[in-house]
Amino acid sequence: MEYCECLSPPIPTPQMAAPRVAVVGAGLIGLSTALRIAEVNPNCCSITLLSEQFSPNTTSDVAAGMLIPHTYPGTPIHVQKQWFKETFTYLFAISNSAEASEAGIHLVSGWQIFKNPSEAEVPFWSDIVLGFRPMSAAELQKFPQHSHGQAFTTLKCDCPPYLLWLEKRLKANGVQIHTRKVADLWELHSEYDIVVNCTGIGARQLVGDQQLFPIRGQVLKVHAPWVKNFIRDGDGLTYIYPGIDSVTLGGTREKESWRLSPDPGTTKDIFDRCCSLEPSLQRAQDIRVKVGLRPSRSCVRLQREVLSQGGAKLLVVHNYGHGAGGFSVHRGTAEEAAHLVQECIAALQGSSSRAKL
Amino acid sequence: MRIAVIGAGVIGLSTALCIHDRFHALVPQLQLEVYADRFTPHTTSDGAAGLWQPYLSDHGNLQETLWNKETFEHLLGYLNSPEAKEMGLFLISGYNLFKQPVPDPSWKNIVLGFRNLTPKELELFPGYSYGWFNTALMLECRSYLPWLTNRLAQRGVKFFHRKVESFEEMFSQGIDVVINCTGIRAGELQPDPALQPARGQIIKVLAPWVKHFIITHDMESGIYSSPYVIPGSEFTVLGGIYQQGNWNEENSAQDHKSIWERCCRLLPMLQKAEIVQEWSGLRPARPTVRLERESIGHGRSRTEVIHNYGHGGFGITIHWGCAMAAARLLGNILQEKQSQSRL
Repeated sequence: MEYCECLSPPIPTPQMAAPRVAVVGAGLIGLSTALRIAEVNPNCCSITLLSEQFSPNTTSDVAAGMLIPHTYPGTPIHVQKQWFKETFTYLFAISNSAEASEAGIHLVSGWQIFKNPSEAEVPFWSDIVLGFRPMSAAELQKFPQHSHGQAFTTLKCDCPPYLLWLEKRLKANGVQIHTRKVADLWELHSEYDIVVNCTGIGARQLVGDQQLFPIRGQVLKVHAPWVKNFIRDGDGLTYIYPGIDSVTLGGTREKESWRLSPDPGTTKDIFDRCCSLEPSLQRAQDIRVKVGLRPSRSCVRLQREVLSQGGAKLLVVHNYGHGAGGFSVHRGTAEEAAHLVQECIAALQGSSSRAKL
Repeated sequence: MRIAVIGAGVIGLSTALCIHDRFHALVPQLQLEVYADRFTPHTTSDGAAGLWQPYLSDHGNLQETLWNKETFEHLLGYLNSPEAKEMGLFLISGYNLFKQPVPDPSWKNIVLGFRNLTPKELELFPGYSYGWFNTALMLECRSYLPWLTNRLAQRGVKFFHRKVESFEEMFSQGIDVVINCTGIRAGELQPDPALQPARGQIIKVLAPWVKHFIITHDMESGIYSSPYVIPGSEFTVLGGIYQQGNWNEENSAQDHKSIWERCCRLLPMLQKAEIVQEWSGLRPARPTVRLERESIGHGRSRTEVIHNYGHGGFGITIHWGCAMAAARLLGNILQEKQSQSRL
């Protein structure tokens, strides 16, 4: 009879040992999923986070962390809207608390601008962000090459602060964190009962998912603290996102490119495009270049899988493939993944009691 | 033709520049001089956060509303220029919060994107049930005043670091026209009971995650006596002190406590902010801005003063409109002198 090592008094379970859960991946998805699992299963399982990379070396650290959703063609809009709403609500509460500065969460207002009026449709998330409305003619004068725009206020999750804050919350919830490269999910079958696969672009190799592909993004992080508003071209390619200590200038969308090293020509191109939207950026200092590979897929892979070899089994929950929209939906997909983990736990307990008959 | 501007705050320097812009080509023998006992960063203007925003009501003073508008539009013109950063000029969005519905302000169509706050936005500010959102401009004087100074120096304007004791002192040195931009101490040159200090105190903190200005209003206590948070390019200014008749330029521990507690209640995340500096200053408050000509003396020794002071807590907001109005008054004077010389 084993007792689970949790914060609450141990619950003796004569049928089985406390399920051992491993979350693989310590980017935004791994950390937030592990946290949600810990929050909804406070009494009954041990959770370990395994990852080769941690902040500041994850894909999430490259992203600006803006809550502006990306649309997944393979997921119903009402689901995406639910994910975004849950994420926005969660972060909104943090932004309004004393934790905001440590968590790196802050409100930011700005504009999404379009050269082509047909692109300026009202998006599905317009009623979730704050104060969404079309830009006035006076506001558009700042952008002479653009004819339409939308103004709104949304949230930004600055990384590394947000990821470090999540790590801290994990430790407070009794989650063990280990640096480890997992080459094959099956290698975990003897130590863990349930594995949650949050490996992002790494899933391509780890589980051989051919539907997952990188969309390379290069960004600049610059010192320009007078830039207080975001500006995003509706084509998604050019954007200026002011963060706590730097402004993220972007970007690129290069499908199927695995190149992690920065390209100097691209750097100049990004800088020029952003300066044309915000000329004061000419005076930006301390330009750093970063590259991230968006783990892109037509829809996020959120599903259970059972791996088995011989008589042994390993229950897997996949939560990867968030592409350009990870920050916007992370809490919502973490919630769903945590439910899938609960289903796995129930399945283990069910088969365990059946085994006793 | 020697013109002396007294005062090197935002009003003095911008008036000098406007005058030079307008007349240096028309009046070849124009000599412009700036006299002040305090220069940046020691002027009242330097202590202001730099947010362009007039008071809530113009009390029917359409002239001042027009000057505010002219200033906003003048600054907007520089926004996309390479000068903007050096000027300390940038766009900023933010919130004005109230405990009850209020009429829209005179400046609602001057700022960008003015609208009422939604219920969800008001959730951010417990205790406030009504408010506005808009995008306005910041003009940080610790950058703007040096920028103005450089432009003036480049054009050969002379600066004199000394306290002017009287208008007569200027005229006896051969100054033809004095532009009086002496702010709160205008009374030392010519008594003016309408001019009173409205003391303010601010705390500068490091809070780079704050991207919006937040100005709260208490309709009973009056303007700027309710907490406000204004993020600058480097520091965030916390304030909420407006004490009429208080000449004390020293920081008060009680005011510090009041600002800190009220601002942290407004924005809990400020509790973690590092305090960098504290400052007090005297807003040159007056029922209306004194912007007018005055002739001193008579006959051949008649000399002209153009007064441009009493801009209260909205000097930055109104400065360029006033500079242009002062320049127009100077134009009248120059025209009269020209006609006189023909007689």
